[in-house]
Amino acid sequence: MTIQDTELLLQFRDPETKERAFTAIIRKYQEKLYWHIRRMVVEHEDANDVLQNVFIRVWNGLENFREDSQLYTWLYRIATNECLSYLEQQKRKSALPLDETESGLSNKIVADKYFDPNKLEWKLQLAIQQLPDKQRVVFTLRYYDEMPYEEMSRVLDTSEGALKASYHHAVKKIEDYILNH
Amino acid sequence: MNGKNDISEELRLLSELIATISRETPYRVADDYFPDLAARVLLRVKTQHKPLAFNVPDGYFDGFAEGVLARIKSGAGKASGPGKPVPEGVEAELASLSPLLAQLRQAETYRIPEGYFEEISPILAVAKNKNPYTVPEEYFHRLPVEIEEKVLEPVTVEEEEQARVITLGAHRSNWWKYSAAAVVAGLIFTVGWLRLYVPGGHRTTSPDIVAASLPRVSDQDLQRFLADQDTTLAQPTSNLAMQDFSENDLKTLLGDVPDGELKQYMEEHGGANDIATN
Repeated sequence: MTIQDTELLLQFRDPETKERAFTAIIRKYQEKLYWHIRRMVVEHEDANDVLQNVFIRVWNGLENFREDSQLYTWLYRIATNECLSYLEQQKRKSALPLDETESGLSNKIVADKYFDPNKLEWKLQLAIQQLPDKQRVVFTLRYYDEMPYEEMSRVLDTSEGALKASYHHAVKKIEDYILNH
Repeated sequence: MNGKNDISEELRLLSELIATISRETPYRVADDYFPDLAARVLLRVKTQHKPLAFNVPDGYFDGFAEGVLARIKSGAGKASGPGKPVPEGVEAELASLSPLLAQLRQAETYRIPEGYFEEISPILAVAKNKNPYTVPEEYFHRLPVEIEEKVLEPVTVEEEEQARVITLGAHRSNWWKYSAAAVVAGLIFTVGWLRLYVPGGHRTTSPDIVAASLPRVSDQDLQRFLADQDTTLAQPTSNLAMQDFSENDLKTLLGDVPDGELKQYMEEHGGANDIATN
């Protein structure tokens, strides 16, 4: 763990500096976590809800954080789980059949006021939404956050080999989508 | 840096197309979103554990469980624990909570015309408050005791024996009966069949029956029958007929034949020398 993270944890455990440490943790990791969540849920309002839930869980659970991994890993793990839970909840609420839920997220991308179908980065977002949720997490963590497989293995509690296979498979699927659309 | 280079190299090996795409996420976010985020989250964290507006008297929960148990044992409505005593009955409770409602409760909101129920049915009007059923004296007083006695009463042996017992072998005895009946029927059938059935379909008839029915056959039918049969039958084919008889044998055979018959035979057939007489 970085010296700063260790320091922040100590301050958090002190009631007098708890809020200040918590604010510092939010400011340090908010953008990374936000974009990780946003790539999964697409809409800003949804990402905001999930992100705030993540930090509330951090507030409630940081006292018991065992420090057997990086704080960053722990935060990403909470954020990923919150994303997946949120998406699962949306699927249950949605009137769409389960196999059509990715079209719901694709519609949200297309509805974005800055959406440009001619730009490859927007096509990439549409292609990413075709992946299953967990594979999408693997791809975004590796492609956007450049997370090492070892770190990803701790975040997702999956073997490195499985993650490599999943990522390679995801890249091929995305390439096929972009070439065919 | 090495890690980033490895990731870029990995992506280029997997897909040159995707490796060329900008990794900047095209989504946008308001400029003031992140600066205020921490404050918003902190506010939410504080409000999630907001204390209640109500206060509880000191020592309220001390002995709370014992007080509740004591109330249950002594019957509803009797207070035996700490705190204010609870008034007995619904009316008293309502009066303590809201005198206004207690007052309103007594006043009927809805009214009916006078004599309404009598007009509908005089009988019902008279019988309204009369309960036709009676209960023996002290019935409800004795009831819990009687029930308890019955529940705890041991079951007698006779009562156990009276219970109907259905053996598992009931069906098996019927099965034996049916199979024995089938065996007997089969035997009767087999014996009857063996007696009546003749292989080849030919019926045997006794010589007596043939001889009795022969006079009824006409001579012409007999001649026709003989003409149809093999004529060799007329020839002596039997070995017996060609058997070499010695003179002694002939004497033995013809010893009982009277002489007059022998003479007659000789006259009709000739060959006296062939006949050996005594």
